[in-house]
Amino acid sequence: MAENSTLRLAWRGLGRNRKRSVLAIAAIGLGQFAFLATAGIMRGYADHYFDSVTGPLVGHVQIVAPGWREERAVDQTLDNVEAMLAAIRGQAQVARAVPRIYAPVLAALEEEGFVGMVVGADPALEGVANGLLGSEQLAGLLGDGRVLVGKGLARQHGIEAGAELAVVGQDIDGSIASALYEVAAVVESPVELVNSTGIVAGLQDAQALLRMDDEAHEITVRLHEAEQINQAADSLGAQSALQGVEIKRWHEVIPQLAGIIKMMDMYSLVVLGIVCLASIAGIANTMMMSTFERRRELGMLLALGANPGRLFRMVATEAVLLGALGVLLGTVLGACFAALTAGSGFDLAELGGEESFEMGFQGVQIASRVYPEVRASDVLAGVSAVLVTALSACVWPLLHVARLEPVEAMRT
Amino acid sequence: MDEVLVAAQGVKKVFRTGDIAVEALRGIDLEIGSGEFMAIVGPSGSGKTTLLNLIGALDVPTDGRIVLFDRDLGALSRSERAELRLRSLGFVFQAYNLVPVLTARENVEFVLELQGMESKKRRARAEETLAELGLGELADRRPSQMSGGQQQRVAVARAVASRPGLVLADEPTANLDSDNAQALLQMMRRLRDEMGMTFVFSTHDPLVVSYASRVVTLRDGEVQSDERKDTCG
Repeated sequence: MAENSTLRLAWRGLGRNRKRSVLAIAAIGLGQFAFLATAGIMRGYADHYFDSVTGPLVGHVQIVAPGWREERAVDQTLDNVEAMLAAIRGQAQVARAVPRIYAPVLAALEEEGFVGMVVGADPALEGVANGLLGSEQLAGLLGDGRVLVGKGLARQHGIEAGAELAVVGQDIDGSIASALYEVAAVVESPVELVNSTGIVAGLQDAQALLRMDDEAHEITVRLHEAEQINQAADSLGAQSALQGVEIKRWHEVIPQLAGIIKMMDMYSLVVLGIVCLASIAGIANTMMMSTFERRRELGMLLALGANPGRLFRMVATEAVLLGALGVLLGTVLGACFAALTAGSGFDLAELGGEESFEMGFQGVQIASRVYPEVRASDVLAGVSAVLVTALSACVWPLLHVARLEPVEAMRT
Repeated sequence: MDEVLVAAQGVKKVFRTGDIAVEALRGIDLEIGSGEFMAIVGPSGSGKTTLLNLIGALDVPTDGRIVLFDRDLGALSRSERAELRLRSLGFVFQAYNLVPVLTARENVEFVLELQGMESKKRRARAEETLAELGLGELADRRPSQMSGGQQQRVAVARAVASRPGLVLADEPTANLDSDNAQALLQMMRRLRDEMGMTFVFSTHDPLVVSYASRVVTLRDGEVQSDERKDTCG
């Protein structure tokens, strides 16, 4: 109770020069808003990339034959796939395990020939969300010699549903492999690889084409919780059915995208650093001016018997209040931004007057529309940064107070 | 003289600015007893404010010794002197020096709060003191909403609210008209009579001198005269 007046003095102190306080609060508020908006957009992108990468194409964990990732040779297959799938699905962390086959082929539509990629996919597993096809209806068209062709490949070579597509490649024994497929539909997959070169066949059709038995090139594993990747990879590695294979985490499969996502986090930190600098400038300037202007008053308080510690707390409380009001303003603005963009997303291309776009990179779809996600942890990070900054910013004014001699101060 | 509150012995104060040394006090010997109503007078530069600051433990002498409430100020640390000011002294400054963002009552409460007085008790004491000084209706006004005379009376209320043994007032009537100055002096003398407080003024004002029971005149940093009056005001 001894310090009722500290808070009161600090609060009312903000009103001594309202314009200056309002400007400082606005600067801090805009800084916090900029941080929340940037962190939200960056996280939106990072989540989109992560889902795009780990969802339909790579999965959280990938299991392949040794060396397959580097060479992609048709004969580098996983054997006893059914046993492997059973072992993988037995793990509590695993939500889904999908076998796939990839085989480069020469395809021909009537007289025209072109390069394509036969992707062997299990219709029962790829028609779900985060599957290669993302649609049960499309997945149901697969099998018995029917294939789906990626939109880009189809547009480039005039392939339409109902066309007959001849493919020629190499089977796992090195012999010529060939088949004649009927195009069941042209598809737009969330995976760029499928859109641009993909000839999606049923897993059994692909196995028949390449003369595979119980074999596949990769098993893509998706987990219930992305945070369990390391734990899941370790426990999969301990399974006897999975000995002698490569078990790769998603960021080992495509380290470039993992780097981009990490860079986004760093970018948010950079913005947070800029917010801190803006806060320091705003608060330090305000508190310095305010302390100098009150030199005589502070001297008088010392003369009355207030100890310097008391004045320290007064100045520091005022700085923290200034920061807190600014951060509150910024948080309200940030919450409004999050609420306004949560449903409809935020299209950076449209913001620049361009048309919204989607593009492929490393087999992954990247969209210009982002769905910002502001988390409580961002708000806390901003609040902590500004409050620590507020206290740091008043070090200089506090040093000034510490050196004050009441008689000298009151003379000014 | 009753109990001695202040004893100054051979007090000197030298201010230095670069190589230049200015001797503001040149060996002051002075005793101030309990219940005195004393004025320190003298021309500008005679050392009145310097002496008042030394007596008030706001500054330390270059040489000599000041004993205040039986404590040698030269032996006290900065924080001990602050504590002594807080517990035993009241100050009235020339330019009111109220905290502008606090109301009259809050200004008075401030010192009581520094002393650690409990909230309800200090509020009651502040209101009681303001009422005693005829400021009851101004308790919720801020300094900017009061006249100069009213502000100076609030400053007196703040100085006496904690019932200090000694109140030091530096030119308390300098910014007041004669009516307000007279009212202020009567009020302080009443506090002396009723509460036994000791008042020491530094002043140029003949009105203050006329109210004082003792007048110490300084000239060039030395005591020129020390006069006690039988009748005053």
